[in-house]
Amino acid sequence: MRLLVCLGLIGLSILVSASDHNNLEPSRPLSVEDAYSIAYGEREIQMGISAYGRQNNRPLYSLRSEFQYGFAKNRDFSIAFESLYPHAPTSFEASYFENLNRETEKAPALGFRVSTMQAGSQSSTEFTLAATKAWHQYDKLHANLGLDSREAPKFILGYSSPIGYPRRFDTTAVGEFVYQNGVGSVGIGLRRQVSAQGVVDLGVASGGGQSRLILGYSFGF
Amino acid sequence: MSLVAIVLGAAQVGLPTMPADLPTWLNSNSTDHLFYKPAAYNWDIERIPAFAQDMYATGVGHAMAYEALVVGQAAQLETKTFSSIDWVLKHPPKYPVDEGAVSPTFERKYGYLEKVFDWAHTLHFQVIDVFMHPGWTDAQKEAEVVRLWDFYRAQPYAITGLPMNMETLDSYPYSGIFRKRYPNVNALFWGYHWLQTVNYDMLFRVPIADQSPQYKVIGEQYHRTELYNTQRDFMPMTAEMSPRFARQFPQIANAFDNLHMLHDNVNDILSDESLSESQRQQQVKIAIYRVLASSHLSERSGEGKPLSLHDHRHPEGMPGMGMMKGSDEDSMYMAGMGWMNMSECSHCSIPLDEGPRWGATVSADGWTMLVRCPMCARDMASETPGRVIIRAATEDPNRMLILVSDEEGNWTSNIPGIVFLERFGGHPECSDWSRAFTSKEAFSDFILKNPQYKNDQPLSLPEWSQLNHGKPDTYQKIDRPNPYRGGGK
Repeated sequence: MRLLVCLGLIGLSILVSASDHNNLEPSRPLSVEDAYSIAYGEREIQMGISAYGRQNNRPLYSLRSEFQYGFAKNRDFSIAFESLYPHAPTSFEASYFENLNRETEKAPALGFRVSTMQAGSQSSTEFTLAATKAWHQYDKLHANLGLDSREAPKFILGYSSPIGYPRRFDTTAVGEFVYQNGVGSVGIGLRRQVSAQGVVDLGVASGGGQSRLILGYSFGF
Repeated sequence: MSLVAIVLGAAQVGLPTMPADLPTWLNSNSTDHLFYKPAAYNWDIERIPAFAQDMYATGVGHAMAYEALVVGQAAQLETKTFSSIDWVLKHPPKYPVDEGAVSPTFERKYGYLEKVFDWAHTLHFQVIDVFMHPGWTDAQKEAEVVRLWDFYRAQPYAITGLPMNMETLDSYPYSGIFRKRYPNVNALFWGYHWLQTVNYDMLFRVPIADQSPQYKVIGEQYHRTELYNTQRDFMPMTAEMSPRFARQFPQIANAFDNLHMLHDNVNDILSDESLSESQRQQQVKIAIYRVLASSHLSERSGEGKPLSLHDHRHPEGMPGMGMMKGSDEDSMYMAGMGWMNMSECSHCSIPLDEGPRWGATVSADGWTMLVRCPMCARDMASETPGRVIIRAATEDPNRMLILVSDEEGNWTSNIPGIVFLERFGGHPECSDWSRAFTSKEAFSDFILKNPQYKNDQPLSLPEWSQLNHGKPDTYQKIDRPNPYRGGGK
């Protein structure tokens, strides 16, 4: 039932939509994020569904809903809920993101996120440093370093590239390599503008004996 | 001193110098992305998809040209870059495009400038959205546009709403380089600015259903002529393209013109090969400073030392436009029209009426002119080949008459029962005896209150459109040479 409600919300959101395919947010569709906050005054709702395939195990599904608000210039906060099926408690996540500077000829864009997550009786806090730098003319490299209170450090190297320039301006391809605790995984995905304000994302990731298919939608208002 | 040093030194002579009170944000590396004012009307521009997509494509055109200029591809601007932009203009994107993503190098170098451009472009779009929002009265829309202006100018990146002297802003050592060296890409820029300013009179106080038919004419003119018009002497001004809007919202009209002048300044600075990268950065910051609202605090419209940075005088009757090259309070040179007095009817030279009897406008061949009455509009339209749009006041202040002609001069009306009063007499009173009515009943009501017209019959659109009284003897042509081509004062 909850699955149907969430899918219904995704469908409803298409009617009111808003976002930008160039911006990378965590989980939309991959783990990597860029160093920029959402715009001051922007509110954004993100929805996503993921299917996890594991060797010799039944697949898992997750539904993630997130609300972001650009409450000040270069700063946003977000709250997110994620449910795993067929079992596991719903997790709650709250985070603060701050962009420190835009990219210039001399320096990459830098930002950081502080987030706290509660899942059942377990909680954790994570600090993530994000950097974004141009690669050739239109492509970008993104580096994320995540330090979690309960886990080993996580390093993500991401890459994004617009598809279709100079004739189309609605799609960005995303790739990432994630390394944590001696295990690496890779992912590729797409973010595509589907209305003036709405973006659909699609991604696949694999590593550590698990593969993941992600479909999501973001809209701002 | 080496020859190179002498040449570089000479090139720097006369360059504007950095002001002492440059805002600190111009030297900051902060990102500062701003979101538009949240509202129900946002993206209502998409009610006319062709218009929305043409507007989206203007952003791509700007960005592609700037990117080419800063990555060392200036030599390809008139060829490869022009072709790329032209393809996009002919196949415009369905959705708005992030200009920063199309011009990432430009964004890295001139991110502070992008803040000014983005914020002003947001105002452009939101004003359009308000006018295209269904279900609101004109009064509600106009009140919201005032709130949008307040929302816009609350940010430090806001451009001043005061009229600025365009001759002064176009008088620096680098001024005019871009338009001379890259005439075809410059024509594209001025074409975008034509579209971005002509649309407001298409929408302002025009019912939603009557907006789209006008864009068939305007969009055709834009794609066929305005984007490729290399003969224009100066950029299109908002008051030239949308005089009704500019009179009602002079601050916004001035901000758009000052924005477009900033575009021209930046184009010139980036294409001036005598400037070093450091000088370009400095000159772009100075150009921004000149038009920022914060640089003109406590200054007033209509005042200021002539031909100075703080010259905020405007032509008589048009507070929504700064003084132009060679102009004075009474007259200015308009592209395609020659010397005009903006406080007078463009057809009969009699002073324009104020208030609800504002008369009409005639839009043809890329220009829009204010006239006193429907007759002046019709007769002026007959002088111009091609399709014409007349927007005219009726007896109902909430119902504007929109007449659109085909190539043969056959008119289509947005008001099916439109009738006209026309008892030809002296032009000084033409706005009394030439009027449009939304119905025969409205005409009869007027006759009851104005018995001097009791013997006049209502004219249907076909009857009225057959009339033509030619050029009135009151018309006074201002006979002066083009100030942009070596003439004028």
